[in-house]
Amino acid sequence: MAETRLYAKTYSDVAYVEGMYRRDPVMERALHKHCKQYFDENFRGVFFVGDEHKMEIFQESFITLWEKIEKQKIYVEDGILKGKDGAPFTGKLTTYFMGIAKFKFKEWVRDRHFGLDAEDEEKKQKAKDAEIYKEMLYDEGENAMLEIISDCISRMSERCSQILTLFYYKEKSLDDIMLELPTFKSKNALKTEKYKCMENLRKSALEIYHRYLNA
Amino acid sequence: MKIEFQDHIDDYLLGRMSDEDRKAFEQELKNDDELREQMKFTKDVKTATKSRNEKLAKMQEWKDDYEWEDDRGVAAARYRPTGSGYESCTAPSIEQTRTMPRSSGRQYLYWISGIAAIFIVGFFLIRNYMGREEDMMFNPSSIEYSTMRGGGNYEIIEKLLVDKNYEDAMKQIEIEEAKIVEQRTATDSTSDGERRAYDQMLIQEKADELSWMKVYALLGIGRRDDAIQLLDELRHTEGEYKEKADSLYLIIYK
Repeated sequence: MAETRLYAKTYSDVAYVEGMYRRDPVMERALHKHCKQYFDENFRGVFFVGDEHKMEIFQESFITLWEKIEKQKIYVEDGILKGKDGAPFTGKLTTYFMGIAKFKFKEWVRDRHFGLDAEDEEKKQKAKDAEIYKEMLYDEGENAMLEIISDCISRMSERCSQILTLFYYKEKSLDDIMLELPTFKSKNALKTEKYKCMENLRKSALEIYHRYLNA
Repeated sequence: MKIEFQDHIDDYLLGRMSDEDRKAFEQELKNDDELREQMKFTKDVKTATKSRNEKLAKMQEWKDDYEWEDDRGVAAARYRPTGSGYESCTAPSIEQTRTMPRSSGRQYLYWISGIAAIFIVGFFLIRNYMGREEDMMFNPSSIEYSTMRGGGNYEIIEKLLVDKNYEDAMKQIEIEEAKIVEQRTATDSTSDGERRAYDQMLIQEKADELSWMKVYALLGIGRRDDAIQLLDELRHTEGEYKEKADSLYLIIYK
C-alpha cells in the first residue's frame, strides 16, 4: 500500500526530468503515471480514437518523451528545465507530452490513410511530415537518423518487430528464433524475412530523413 | 543494402566473430563506404530496438496502473513490441481485483458515485415512462393538429396505443403517413414561399409525432430493430422529439 501511495505522488517537472535522466525507477514510474493521468483527462478534446488506440498513442508518446530525456534534449540546468537550443521550458512537461501525442496521433491517422483519398490531401500531409519531424527531432544533430529509426520501428509490422526484437534485443540466434516463430520452415526463409524487414525499415527511415533535411 | 553484408555485420555487432575475423572485417569497413553505411544503420536499429524494448518491459511492469483504472469495465490494454495491432485483454478477475491495492478514499468515492448513478438513471427511466403516458393522453399538439389540419386521427392512435392495441395503431399510423406524403406533395406546389415553409414545418411536426407513436407501436408488436432504427432517425432530426428519442434510444439500445 505504501508503494502505491509513493507512485501516486506528483513531483515538479524538474524532479521528473532529473529522476528520469538518472534512471530512478520510482521517478520513471511516477512520470509515467502522471502523464497517463493527464492523457486520460485531456485526450478526448484532441484525439478521436477508441480506447485501445488511445493506449497505443500514449505508449508511443511516452517512449518518445523518455528517449528525449535520456538524450538530454530535455534537461535540467541550474534548476531550470530546458529544451531546444537551451531555451527554458515555457509550458509544463505534460503539455509538451501532449504535443508529442498530437504528432503521434497524426502519424497514426496517416498510417491508416484516414482522409487521404485525394491526391492533394496526401501531398499536403507529406508536407506536414517535414514540420512534424523537425519539431519532434528538435535539431539536425548526428542522432537524427537514430531517432527516425526509433520512430519507424514503432510502426513496423508485428512480424518484423518480433524478428528484430528477438534478434537484436534478445540476441537470439536464427535457430532459436525459428523455435519461437514456427511459421518459418527454414533458416534461409527467416534470414530473408529479416533482411526484408531491415530493407523496408531503411527505406522508410531514409525517405523521412531526406524529407526532414530538405525541410 | 546488400544481403551478403548483413550476416557479417550482425556477427560483428553481436560479438559472434572470432578475433581474426573481427580484425579482417574492421579492415573491410575502412575501405568500403557502403558497408560502413549499412553497419551504421544496423547499429542504429540495434540501439533503437534495445531502447524501445527496455522501456516497454518497464511499462509492462507498470501495467497495474492501467488495471486499477480499467476496473470500471473497460478492457485493459497490454503492451506489445510494436505500436500496431494493439492487443486488448479481459478485465481482471474477481480474485485479481480483490488483491489490487486501492485506497479506502477511492473505494468510498466509488460507492458514492455508484449510488448517484443509480438515482440518475432511475430518475430518467421513470421520467421517460411517466412522460410517455402523458404524451399519449394529453399531448396538446395532437389537439391542434386535429382542428388545424383536418386530421383528428392521432387521438385514435393514442388511444389504441394506451389500450395496447398495437396492430390497429400501426395500421392507423400507416394511413396517416400516407396522408402526410400527400400533404407534402401539395405543399411543395404552393407558390407562396413563406406559406410553404410554414406548412412544411407543421407537416414535419406531424411526421415526427407519428414517428414517435410508431416507435411504441413497433415495440408493441415486437419489431424492436425497426423501432430502434426509427428512433435513431428521430434523435438525429431537429424537433420536439429529438431529446425524447435520444433518451429512449439509449435505454432500449443498451
